[in-house]
Amino acid sequence: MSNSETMVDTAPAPATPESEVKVAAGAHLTLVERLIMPTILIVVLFGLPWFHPGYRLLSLATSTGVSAIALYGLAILVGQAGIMSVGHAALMGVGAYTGAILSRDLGMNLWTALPFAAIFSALAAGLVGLPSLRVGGHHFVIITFAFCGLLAIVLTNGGAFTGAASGLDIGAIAPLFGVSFGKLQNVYLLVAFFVLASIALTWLVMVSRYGRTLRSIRENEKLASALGIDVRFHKIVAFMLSGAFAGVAGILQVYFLQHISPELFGAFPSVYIALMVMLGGPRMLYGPLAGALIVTFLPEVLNLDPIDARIAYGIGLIAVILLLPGGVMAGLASLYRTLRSKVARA
Amino acid sequence: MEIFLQQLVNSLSVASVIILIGIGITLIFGLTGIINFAHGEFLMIGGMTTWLVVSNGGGFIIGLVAAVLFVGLLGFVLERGLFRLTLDRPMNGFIISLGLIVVLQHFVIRFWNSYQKSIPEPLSGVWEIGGVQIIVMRAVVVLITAVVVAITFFGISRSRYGLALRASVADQETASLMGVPVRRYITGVFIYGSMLAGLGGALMIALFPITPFIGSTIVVRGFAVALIGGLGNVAGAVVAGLVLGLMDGLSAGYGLPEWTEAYSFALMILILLLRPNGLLGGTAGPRAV
Amino acid sequence: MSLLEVANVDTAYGAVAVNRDVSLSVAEGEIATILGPNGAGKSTLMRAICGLLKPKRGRIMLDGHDVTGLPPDRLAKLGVVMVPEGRRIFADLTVRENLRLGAYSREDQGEVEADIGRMESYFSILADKRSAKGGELSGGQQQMLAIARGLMARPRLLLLDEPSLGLSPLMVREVQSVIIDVRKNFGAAVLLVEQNAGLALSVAARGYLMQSGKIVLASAIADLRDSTLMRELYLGGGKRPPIKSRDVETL
Repeated sequence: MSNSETMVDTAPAPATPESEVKVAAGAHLTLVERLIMPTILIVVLFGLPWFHPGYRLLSLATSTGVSAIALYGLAILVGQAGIMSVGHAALMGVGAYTGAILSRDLGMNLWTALPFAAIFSALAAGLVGLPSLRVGGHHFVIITFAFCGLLAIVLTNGGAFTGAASGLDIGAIAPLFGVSFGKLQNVYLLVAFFVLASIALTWLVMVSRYGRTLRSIRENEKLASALGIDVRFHKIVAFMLSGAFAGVAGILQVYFLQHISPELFGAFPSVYIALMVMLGGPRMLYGPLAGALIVTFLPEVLNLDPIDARIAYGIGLIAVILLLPGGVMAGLASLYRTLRSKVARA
Repeated sequence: MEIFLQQLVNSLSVASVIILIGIGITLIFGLTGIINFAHGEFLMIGGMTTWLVVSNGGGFIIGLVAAVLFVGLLGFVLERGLFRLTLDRPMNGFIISLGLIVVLQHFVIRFWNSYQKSIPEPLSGVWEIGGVQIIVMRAVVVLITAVVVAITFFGISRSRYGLALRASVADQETASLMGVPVRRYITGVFIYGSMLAGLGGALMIALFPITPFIGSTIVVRGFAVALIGGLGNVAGAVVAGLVLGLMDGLSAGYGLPEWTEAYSFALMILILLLRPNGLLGGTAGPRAV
Repeated sequence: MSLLEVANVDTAYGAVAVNRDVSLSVAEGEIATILGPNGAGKSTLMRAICGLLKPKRGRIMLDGHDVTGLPPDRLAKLGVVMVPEGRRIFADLTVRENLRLGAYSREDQGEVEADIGRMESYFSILADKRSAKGGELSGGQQQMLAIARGLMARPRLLLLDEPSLGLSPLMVREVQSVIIDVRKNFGAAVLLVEQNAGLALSVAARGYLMQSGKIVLASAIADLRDSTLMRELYLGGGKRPPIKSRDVETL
């Protein structure tokens, strides 16, 4: 089965994939307009602590950031390569547990363990991706779900090594270059830095030749293959790349929470992660960030109790998929384009 | 030996519920390509409906019928209102089903609570056959499922409607050229699958307590059964359900109970890799032509 | 009034236009053909006529009633039955089941068994292989099954899309005699789309030549065969199409 039959309909207004990327890269905007989003992003992202947010808000923001990092990895897989996966939380789990276990058994801290978390998650992701080479998209989605469930079971039954059902604890982040991470503020800024890095990396993928290759696989696998693209290789690489993002997010999460347990990375968190990326828009540059922000902060803003929040979230997601298949960001971008052309004509 | 037989009957009752879910999924997924992960929630709602009726003084049978009818109605409404809009892009149907899971689960939690619900045993008692103790209710569950499976199987293989359904699963376009109103069959299959899920829920709560979260564990089993047995293949779903149910039941009794779920996951992944069309063969999906 | 009337139909797949301003008609009980090279848009037009594709413009009339845009299952009930390109036999259903399914749209379900018997006596291969799965038949046998399946619906108009594709010359001759018999024994009109000019010209009374999605010539068969346009565009210039008189049943 080719990807185009199972790919999610997230196409925003421009019809061809190449114009899609140009729009995402802002080709039709003036230089000033193109700089608006990144500027706002950097200001808000790094300026947040200076607005004296409460502990709770900062904590939520950090959590959002961690999710966003993982989401960018998923966006490369789903948005660019067109492969749907609901196993992403499991990959975060690999990164998180790697960090926790390396800290406990080898005394490694965040800085030394980070590359390992990324690598192990990437390897796990490559493994999860292997069945996608044989099996069509619909069946594969279910396999990713099963992998997640499997991982959760393995972690729960791992005895003392994985901390079993109660999970593992970890110490604080070790200081780097004299900067201490005892205060939440610095942890937040660290996460913010990684978020920025994720966005930049994703942007690079989108505008590069590699991104073009992935998108051609997404649009028409058979054609891509006939054109000489090694589809299998590129799919696995896309998986591994998405895994690396998840691994980094995972290890950051364990150091942020200072505790992890299996249910954080099971089937349901995976589903929520997939929902977040679909909500924000997997093909848009700021889609993943938007998805993470909406899911984390909407309940706060609307002051809903957690259960009502979840219901609203579910209904909202269904509405977005039906009305704005490209996600919220695609809808906003489309709106901006319409307003802009109206203003230009006036 | 007696213990083994007892375990066998217990496993069969577990398998029964899985089979009911699996048949619904194999037909719906096989015909439309839509992965409705919320199917497990249908089962949960069926069980909750039965619990509601029974705890308000109704008999179990009324509760069972109510579950079947209500969930069938729910399936109809969701197909017409929601899933029908995603027939061209089934993957969107999948995402929507994920949203549905969240909505349905939390709806139930909001109006009742997230704690376990159970009903008194509708049929108490134990049969003794040759030294083997068989819990009557479990045997009844197996019996009811067997009857439903037989009806389904003969309906599909003998009747004109079953023929049209099998043709539609194989090749929707050509079936419509023969005059088959495929859209109506899609709705029909959704309703039927939902009714089976409702029945499964009612039978499940007759055996053990349920929480609003059981849907998620059941649904993966259901998809495993459908995929292993071959999409659209009812006989395959039955065989796969028996295998999985037996594995579940026996591993709980003999093997390592914590790994029970892992077995079905692993088996499913294995079979999908080796025989993507399922053990007994089925459609590769509605776009396979 | 013709049985089928196609008037000024445009078709397209998304933004890609295929047929432009196509008009044709088929009379009750007549065999008409649409000829043309590969990619001319013949199959697309057939898909529009049988309801699988909605025309962007124009009308399709059956017995004077507007049936444009009706879905295939409605059209089948009205007597327009398509035997699709590539046969599209249900491989996992038995031959008998394939035939029975062909009669799905009929009101008189009681007659279906008798008709299956009639099909089996006309197409002897179907009797021999009645319990075999559709996928087990050879290409030629599948074509016979596909046509029989179409006839089970007791159509008024049988649409045949490239029945000779992939068949041996022997099987093509069998298809040829079946098509002629459809008119004689089963009383249905036939609209035949073919690349095989020899087959088409030997069975049809009237023909349309299609090129690049448009009808470029419409006439009685004899004139079509003799036309220079036909020879130049379709047959590559030079000789008449190679039809041996002993292969042709007199119409």
